[in-house]
Amino acid sequence: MKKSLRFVTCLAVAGCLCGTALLGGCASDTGRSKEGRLSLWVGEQLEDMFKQMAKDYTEETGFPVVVNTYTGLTASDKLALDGPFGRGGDVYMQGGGGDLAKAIEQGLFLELGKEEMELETKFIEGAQGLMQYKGKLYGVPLGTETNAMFYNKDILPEFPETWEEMIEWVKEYNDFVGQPERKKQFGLLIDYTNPYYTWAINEAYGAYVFGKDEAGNWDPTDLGFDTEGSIKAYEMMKGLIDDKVIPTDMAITLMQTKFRSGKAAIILDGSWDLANFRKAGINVGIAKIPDIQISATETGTPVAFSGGYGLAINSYSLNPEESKDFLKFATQDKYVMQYYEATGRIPATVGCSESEAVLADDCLAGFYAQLEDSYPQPSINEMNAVWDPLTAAAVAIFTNNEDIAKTLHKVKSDVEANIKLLS
Amino acid sequence: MTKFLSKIRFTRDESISPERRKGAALRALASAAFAGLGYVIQKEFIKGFAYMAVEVAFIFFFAFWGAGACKNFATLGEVPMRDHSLVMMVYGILAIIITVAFVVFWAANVAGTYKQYIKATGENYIPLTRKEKLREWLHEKTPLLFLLPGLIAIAAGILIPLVFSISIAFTDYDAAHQPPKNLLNWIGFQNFKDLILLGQYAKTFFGILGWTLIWTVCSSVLPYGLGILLAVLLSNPRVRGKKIFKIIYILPWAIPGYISLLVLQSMFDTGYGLINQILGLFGIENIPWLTKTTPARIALILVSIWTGFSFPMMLSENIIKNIDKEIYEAATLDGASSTRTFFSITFPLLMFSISPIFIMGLAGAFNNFNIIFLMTGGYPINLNYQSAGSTDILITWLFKLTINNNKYNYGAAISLILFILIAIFSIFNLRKTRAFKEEAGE
Repeated sequence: MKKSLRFVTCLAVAGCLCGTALLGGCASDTGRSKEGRLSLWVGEQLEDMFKQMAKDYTEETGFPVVVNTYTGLTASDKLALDGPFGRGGDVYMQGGGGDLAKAIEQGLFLELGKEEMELETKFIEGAQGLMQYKGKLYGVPLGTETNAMFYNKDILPEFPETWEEMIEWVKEYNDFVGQPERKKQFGLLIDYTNPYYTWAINEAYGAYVFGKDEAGNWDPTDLGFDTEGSIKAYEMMKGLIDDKVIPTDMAITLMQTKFRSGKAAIILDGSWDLANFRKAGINVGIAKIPDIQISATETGTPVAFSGGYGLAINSYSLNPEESKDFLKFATQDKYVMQYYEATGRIPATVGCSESEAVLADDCLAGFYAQLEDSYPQPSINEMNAVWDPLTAAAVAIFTNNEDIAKTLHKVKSDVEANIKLLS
Repeated sequence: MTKFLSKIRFTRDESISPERRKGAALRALASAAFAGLGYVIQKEFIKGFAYMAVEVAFIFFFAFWGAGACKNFATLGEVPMRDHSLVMMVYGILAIIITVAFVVFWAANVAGTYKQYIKATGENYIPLTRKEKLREWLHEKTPLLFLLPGLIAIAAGILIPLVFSISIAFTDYDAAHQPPKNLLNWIGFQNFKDLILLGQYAKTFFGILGWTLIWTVCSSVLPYGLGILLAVLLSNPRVRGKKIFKIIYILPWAIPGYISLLVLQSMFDTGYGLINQILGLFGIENIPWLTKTTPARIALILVSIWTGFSFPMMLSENIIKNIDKEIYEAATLDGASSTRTFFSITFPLLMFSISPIFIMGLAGAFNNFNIIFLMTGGYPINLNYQSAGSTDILITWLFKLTINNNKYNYGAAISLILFILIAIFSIFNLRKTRAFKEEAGE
């Protein structure tokens, strides 16, 4: 009796284990791309918005759309594992720029036609390059982000027109030398150790990262780090630091804290922090980085880096035509506005940028003004070779007071060496 | 031929006659030709047919899938987008593992056949019934049956990824060659040559290796030194409030490393960090802790001492507690000073017990990713290095190469080199400690 009972319990346990294993194996099937159904993958905070959009699409076209959310991995990481094995969905929310470049190098996303997606007519210029790689289009942009001047309207009601006027005002307002920490007031905060923020100023002086070849693609052999203009730009920044116009040794997080607590008037930051500052109760205004007088006769316009997110189609998708149709549907103005409300990323369509709601919000107007003079980071592989030397140069020039021209020449040769090693 | 066959020995029993050996060898040969055949000849039908079934299964497996997988592993695909090189690598490794498992099975089968014949033709052999045979077989194979699920799990979960990452070190998998759009290629030892012999990467590799060795020694010896010192001090009978001291000294070990490292990073900040503010009270200028090489390295070593001293302290304390007090009394009677007693009595006894742990600690410090990555991130950037900073150790450099630059092949190659270095070091020292153990046993 005992023996058979033991036998039966063993069998039962084994059976349960097998059962759970089987059940686990049959994971939900909605993530996969199947004929006759679109499978959409978005980040979890956007689930509700996209579920509504999916319902609207199904009502209009009768084509079912299933929304899946992912956490953790970015879309392209997930697709790299799923796509080649037939487990990938159809449409993915994908970040532009370097993220996209890596995904395209793996062959994950479908190439789209520029006219078919109405690239030039439907989307603002600053966002057109976002989902492109080596001149080809791989997705449609939904929301963009860029760097601009945030200013506290309570302290500075109207932003100065030119850079020099701004500096004059800042010099008057500044009160942080020799003051105890609690009483310090900052006029202008710029994180000069991070070239991502300050490169816009260099561009105003005529520096550039990569030149463009005849076809309009990024040319990694043409580097513009050590041009005359670049050297002057760094000299100008160094001047600001030496004259104590901007403070030294502050991390960007500390700068943001100062702005949030009203101790700073102007900060150069990315558009993703807008919600943050507004929540802290600051009366925030946005202005594009003002034109700089680069020489006695010329002014230069700072050109900032932009980034953003959009939708892309899995190259292994079984419903490419319906996916393209969905992409066009999802980039209608009302959905792009919803995306802005959900994530704070600047709407990428022309319709949105001219809508009443947007024009009423002068922060957005400021960002759009900056977007007209910004471009997406070159999403080619060689961009990875640039950041380390550039950051090291910032530290060398601004903190260690090394010779600017020499350092910039070194940056150029280091980037060239890095690029050679990358291939 | 028969003489040779009779000379094969699977058993050491000298009493077995050559004829028996010859018979056993013949049947073993039959099993070698086709698994289980030898058993069938010996009229062990069930066992024989079961083994034959396994061989047939393997032949089917190999013919229909295994051979293709192995070929794909060798070529890593021919058509981009259709052939995914990484998948082919994994399946190839799986096929190889299954083939190796089968070879082991086959060898066991041959040996088993031989032994079975010797047993069956022995004097005291009583043929068993089927049920008895099954029971005996189960009895014999119980250890294997229990280990088998674990072995399969290890093969799938540990062996395949391990061999996979070692294989990556011999391919050209990096940012410019990503499947499925590109095919990978076997490039042999090219990665290792790049890392050790040629140009930029070699300079970086040896530079980082130098700092890694300094870091390993400092971040092991100094915490141990401090820990032992504190333990000796705390064992002094004149100290009051020992419990409170012990609680305070255990805290660095008790606080989760991540949190304490991130807080320490902000404490070492140049402009607003706590440490510079305190130093400022004494009139010392702002030290650029994390933005210049030497201060950053000093900061890292200080932090490693802070996080690392609790454990040796606890260990030493326990050992010191167990040292016989009479030895100390005898030493003081003979006129030894306290320093003398420490170096002649306490320290050698401590070292006997702590040495193995200390050596393992050295190997751990060699790969101490957390402290370096969370405190400085490997920065300040060193432009003479390729994608590395001045405080990077080999493993954080590997991490940056893989995650930031997508140079998976270099990452895998460096990890293989790390493994070899640590393995050599550990084996060498393990042997030495075994010598210690034998000495202490006298």
